Parts: sequence; structure tokens; C-alpha cells
Amino acid sequence: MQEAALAIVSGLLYGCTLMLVATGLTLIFGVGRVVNFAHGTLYALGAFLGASIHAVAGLLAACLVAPALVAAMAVGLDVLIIRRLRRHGDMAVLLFTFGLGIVIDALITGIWGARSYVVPVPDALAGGVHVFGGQVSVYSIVLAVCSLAVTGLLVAALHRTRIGLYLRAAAENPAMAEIAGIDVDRAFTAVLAVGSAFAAFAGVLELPMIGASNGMDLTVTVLVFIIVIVGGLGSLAGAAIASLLVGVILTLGATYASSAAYLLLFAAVIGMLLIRPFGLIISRSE
Amino acid sequence: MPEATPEPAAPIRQPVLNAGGLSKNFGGKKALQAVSLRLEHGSIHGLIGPNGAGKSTLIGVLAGTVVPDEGEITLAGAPLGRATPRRRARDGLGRTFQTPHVFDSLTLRQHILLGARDGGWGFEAAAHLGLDPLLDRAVATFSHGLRRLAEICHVAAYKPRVLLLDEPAAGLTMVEMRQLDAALRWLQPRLAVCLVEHNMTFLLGIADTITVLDHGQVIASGSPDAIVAEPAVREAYLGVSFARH
Amino acid sequence: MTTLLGPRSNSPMSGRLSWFLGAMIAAAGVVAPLMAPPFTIHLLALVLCYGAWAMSFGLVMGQLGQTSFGHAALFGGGAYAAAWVALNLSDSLLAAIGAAGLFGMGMGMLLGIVLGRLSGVAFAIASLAFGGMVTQVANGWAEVTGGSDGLVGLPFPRLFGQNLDDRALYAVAAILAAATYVAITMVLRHRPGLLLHAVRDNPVRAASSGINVHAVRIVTLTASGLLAGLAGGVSAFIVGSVAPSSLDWSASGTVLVMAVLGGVGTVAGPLLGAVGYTLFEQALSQVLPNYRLAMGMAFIVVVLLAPGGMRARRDA
Repeated sequence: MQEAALAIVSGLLYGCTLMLVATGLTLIFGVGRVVNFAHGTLYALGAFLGASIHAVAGLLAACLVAPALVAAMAVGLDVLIIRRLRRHGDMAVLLFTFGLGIVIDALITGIWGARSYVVPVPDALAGGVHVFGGQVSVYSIVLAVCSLAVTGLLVAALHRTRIGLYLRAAAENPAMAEIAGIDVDRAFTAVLAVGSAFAAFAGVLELPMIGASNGMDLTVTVLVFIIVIVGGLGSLAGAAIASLLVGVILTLGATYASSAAYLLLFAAVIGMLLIRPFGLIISRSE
Repeated sequence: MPEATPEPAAPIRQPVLNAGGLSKNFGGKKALQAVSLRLEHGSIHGLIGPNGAGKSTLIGVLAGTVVPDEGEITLAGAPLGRATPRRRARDGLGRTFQTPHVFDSLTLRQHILLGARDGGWGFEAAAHLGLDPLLDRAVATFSHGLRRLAEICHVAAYKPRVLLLDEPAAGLTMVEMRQLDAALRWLQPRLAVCLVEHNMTFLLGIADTITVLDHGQVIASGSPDAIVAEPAVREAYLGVSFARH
Repeated sequence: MTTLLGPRSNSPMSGRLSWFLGAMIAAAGVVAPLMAPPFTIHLLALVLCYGAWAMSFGLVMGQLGQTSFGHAALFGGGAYAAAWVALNLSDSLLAAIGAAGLFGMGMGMLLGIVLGRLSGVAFAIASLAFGGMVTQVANGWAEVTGGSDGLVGLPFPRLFGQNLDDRALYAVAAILAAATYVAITMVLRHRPGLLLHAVRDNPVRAASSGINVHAVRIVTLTASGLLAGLAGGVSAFIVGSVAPSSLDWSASGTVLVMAVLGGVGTVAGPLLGAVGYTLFEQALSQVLPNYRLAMGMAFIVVVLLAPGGMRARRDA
């Protein structure tokens, strides 16, 4: 019983870290209309950049600079390429991001080599908390709080500010938004920038916990797509809840029966896609 | 162009499609209100009305792409119920779309062969439409008007019992329109045709019955002469003069 | 260089060109095993298996118009089936390959039934999930699949009482690749090809014309699964082992890249892509350690050059 409770708590914390990545993807998906198969590599890129910046200027600097750099890259790619690619449909953009993922992954290997990077937990946040007969690290709690805070800020910004209104309008009906005077292109670029920054930020934040290593992009990509779909494509609240759910299921699975956990999740993905056949994306392509 | 197929000895004026009491609400907007329509074998039935009258919705309901809230449709005596567009097509209902839906990578010949191994009525339709020289060209290269005509050839190949055409004359040149007229006359004795059309001149030249829709309701139905003289119809079409044609 | 959707299907030139290329490849294919050293034969045999796999993928992406990110599950699944049969039941080539083909076919059918109504993007993501599930089963069901280590130590298979060596396996792979090419070409030349293209180009029009879009997709995916499964089965013997890496998401990505680089719209394009990709991988990795970067960029270039070919057309 205690074991399960501990697993659930760990799972919730884990879910919070996934939430940051999933929020970014949902934003890009639901508001930016881009199926971003490179999202996992952006996360990995953030982690590696963060590791290097940390070596020079500390974790806090890494938290600020790495996401900014990745966001800048996203802006560049959107303005130069994705903007033009959109009119050819969602598949073209999807395949581009898939190729981009390969390129970024190759660049990471090229620049940082095949080695892994480890970053120590900052002293102020070290230590653990005793819970249900086990231990949960202070840092993971801090991470979870950060994720929730940032996600909460984003949701608030989208629903309470004028910029948020413009973004949601642009996502809902680009043609009408354009007529209403909203610069739809710029709105989408902003969304891609923020979404990418979220992924990179998550990568940096997790450095003290899992470091930066090759292949981290693959696991994250699959997980985060599961979350975004189970949460209901494009729904931020859904993605948040799904992240927690997935975190708990996987942690319980790791404790008890790991393959079943993954199978359950994949089945949920396929089930969701069958029941809610991608209305969000279909209604917008062509 | 020589007639390749002799006219079938089918009785004229049999109801092939009977629709009654069709209603459809789109979130508050009454697109169709108790609409009835009767399509007879061998006749060309025009469907007209101002923009937003419900014509395309009606075609959608008949074709199965729009599910009505109320009403029934029977095709060749059998009720359609909630049959899918695919099912209806297999039962003999052919339709074209307002924006021509064709298969870009296929040639016109392939469009026709899809419908029937011997081409059904497709090749003759193509001949009447003057499309013979284009049979082996990919439809992707066709102009907008020709794509419309290609879609008609495709559907004709299936030898449907009923042909629903959504604005077939839109975007056609004068020559293409004359050929469409000829093709429809050739098809006429073989099936029932219903066409939605804005081009009054074209329609009045070819239809033998016309139903007028306005705000989702049938406001008049009868021969072209009767419709043209009907005051309610003129009112609905305020400003549009089609009394002389 | 072929564009994404290949040369116009009705151009007489493209017909002649592909016959010429086919003849060249066939000639090379026959000459190679007589002259090349063992390592090269081994590599070429594997390349031919990848080629058959890529062509089966091209059938789905290029001709049917559905991009699958889980196609490795069909290939790898076939490999596992063959390996399991070889290690547990019989060393007969036919038994193992038969199992591989059946397994691939079943997977393909399942994919078609469950995912066949989904549009382009939804299908892409769902197929990713499908591939992920299969990978998880391979990783988890250790008693059957050997878990993350996979199944190793496959014996050379027997055919007509003879043990088959590398050269013989090369011949098998070559026959498979040729048969795959011929089968797909024949299908495309007749009515099924018309149906495929109709469903690809305009599923809404196809349905309104009475075509059962879902059924067409199921049959195509089943056929593709059969071909991919067979290729996977042969590859298992060439490599001598199978592991989850033959069916995971990055393997699915690899076949996609191969097919796209070679030209996914033609029948032979993916074969050329597989050949090019694998040979470049071998050659470039000596010279250019980061050949993956070159591959990724080439892929992006192809996507950018023919983005119209990627379009999920009027979705049902």
C-alpha cells in the first residue's frame, strides 16, 4: 500500500516534468497547427545547451539562455521555412519537422559527441523529503512546482490577455483573424517560439535529475505524443491532466508490471484517435 | 457524334427518387423545412433559389453527406434511411460536388474506367462533352470548367439511376455549356437528373421541372414557364430578371 | 532526381526509364555475388531486404497516400516470427519465411482495420503509437522475444535439404526484391491500382462513387504487411539475430527516409533509396562521421522540393 502511494506521488512529480514538454507540444499542435515531430529533439537540445551553459555560468543562466536560443532557432525556421510550407498541408509540415528532428539530433551528436553530461543538484535544493516510507527529492518537487507555475501562467496568458485572445482567434479561424487585423503569421511564429522554449526549458530543468544523453529525444517524443493525444489534441488542460495520468501509470508500471503500462497507454492513444478523429486538424487543413 | 448506345425502352415519368418532409437545423439556423422533392425517370429537375436557400444542404441530404433531422427518402422504391454516401452510390445515386472533386493523378479515361470496365455511359458523355481529345490527359492539367465536366463523365460511367449535379454550369465557357446541354439531353432518357443551378439561361433551356427554394422551404414547383410567371418566385429573386430568356 | 511523387504516371518516357534502371539493377544484382567478397554480399543481401521493405512502404505512402511511422513493426515483426520459428520449430527456410509473411500480413491487416479510417496526420501519429506498442511487446515479452536482447544465434536455414550460406541468402533476397517489385507493378497496372490512386487522391469523391475506402486501405496495408514481413524474415537470417531495434520508431523513421529519398511515388524509387541510403551509410561513415546529418538534410531538401506531394488530400 505504502509502495503504491509512494509510486503515485513519484508518478505525479514525474508527470509534472512531462507536463512542461507536453504543454509546449500542445501549444504548437493546437494553436500553431504544427505536428512537431522534432519536439523531443528540442527538449534534448535544451538539455545539452543547458549543460554547456551551466559549465560556464550556472544552472540559472542555463534556464534562461538555453530556451531563448532554442526559441530563436524556432523563430528562424518558422519565418524561413514553415510559413511557406503550411499552405501545402499538415503532412508536409509534419514530414519537415520529422527531418528536422533527425538533423538536430545529428547536430547534437556532432557538437557534443556521444557522451552524456551530468549536472549536480544545486546545494540549496539538495536533499530529500520522507514520504510514505520512501524518499522524494526536493529538487523533483521544485521542478514540479516550476512546471505547474509555468503551465498555469501560459493558460492564464492565453485566456486572460489580449495577446492570448489573438492567438486563440488565429488558431480557431486564421482567415477571419486575418480580416480582423491579427497578424496570423506572427501569431503562429510566437506560438512555435514559446512551445519550443518550453521543451528546451524542460530539458534544462531535468539536467540535475537525468542529465543530457543521446536517445533522450526518442523516449520523450513517444511519451509526449501519447500525452497530447490522450489529453485531447490541442487542449492544454487535457494535456496537463494527461501528463499526470501518464506519469502515475508509468511509475506504477515500473513498480509492478512495466509492459502493461505502456500497452495501456498506446491503446488509449489509438482509442482516442478513433473516437475523436482529429477534428482539430482536419477542419484546418486545406 | 454518332449515338453509340440506343435509347433504352424505359417508361418515362416513373418516380425514381421521392423525398418528403426533409428538415435540417444547423444550430438554430433552419436550413431545410419540410422539403419534398420528386425526381422522375427521364426528367431533368432544376433546383433554384437565392443564396442560402438550402439548395446545397438539400443535395447533401439526398446524397447522404448531411443527415436530416426529419424526413424520408426512397430511391427506386427502397427507403434510404441513414445509408452512407457510399451505400447510396452503390444503389444508383450519382452526385457531383460544387467544387469539382476529381482524382488528380488519373486521366479522364481512367476516371471513366473506374466506374465500369466498359466505361458505362462515361465515354458517350465525354464524346458529347467534346472531351474525346483529352481522354488520356491527367485531369490535374484540366481547367476548372473541364474538371467539372470530367467529374460528370466519371459519375456517368456508373450508369446511375439518379444524377445530382451541384452547379454543373458554373465557370463553364459558352461552348462548354452548349456541350453540357447536349450531354444532359443525351443522358435524360436514361435516368433522373436533378441540378442545382444559378445560371438561369442554362437551366431554363434544359429543365422540364423546376423547384424553387427560399429560406429552406419550397415556395414553388412546376414547369419552367409556370415558375417564371410565379410572383412569389420573382419576389424571392428581387432584382433578378429572368422573365425574358 | 525523381521528385516525391515521381514522374508523371502516364509519360511514356518514365516507363522506358524505369525499365532501363530495372535492367541495370538486375544486371548488377546478378553479377555482384559472383565477384564480390563475403562482407559485400552480406551487405548487399541486407540492402535488398531493406529495398523490398521500402517498396512495401512506398505502396502505402506513395500509392495509398498514408504515411506510416510504424512500418518497422511489420518488417521487424516478420523478422521475429522467422527467428522464433527457426529457433523453436524448424530450420526450414520456407517455414520461417512463411511465418514471417503471415505475421506481417496479420499486422498489416490489424493496422488497416484499426487505423484505416484516419486521415493523414492522425494516421501518422496513430501508426507511431502502434509501432510503439509492438516495440513494447518485443521488449517486455522476454520468454518469446528475448526481451531487450532479442533473439540471437539463428542457424542458417535449410532449403530443399541444403544449408543456405550467405550467397544463397543473397539469391533469396534478390528474388524477394524482384518479386516485390513485379507484384507492386502488376497491381498498379490493373484495376486495383486505379482504386488505390482514387482513394489516395480524393477519398471523399471515392466514397461518393461507391468505393469502400476503408476496405481498400485494409487490403493495401495487408499486402504491404505481407511484403514487409517476408523481407524482415529473410533479413533475420542474413543478420543472424533480431532485436527490438529492428522494429522501433527510429527504424520506422529509417524506412521512411529511404523511401522518400529514393522517390516515394514510383515503385522502384524506394528500392533505390534503400540502396543509396545503406551504401552511403557504409561509405560515408568512414569519411563523414556525421552522415546522419547529411541524410537528414537531404530528406528535408526533398520534402521542400515537392511539398505538394505530401498533401493529405481531401480527407474523408
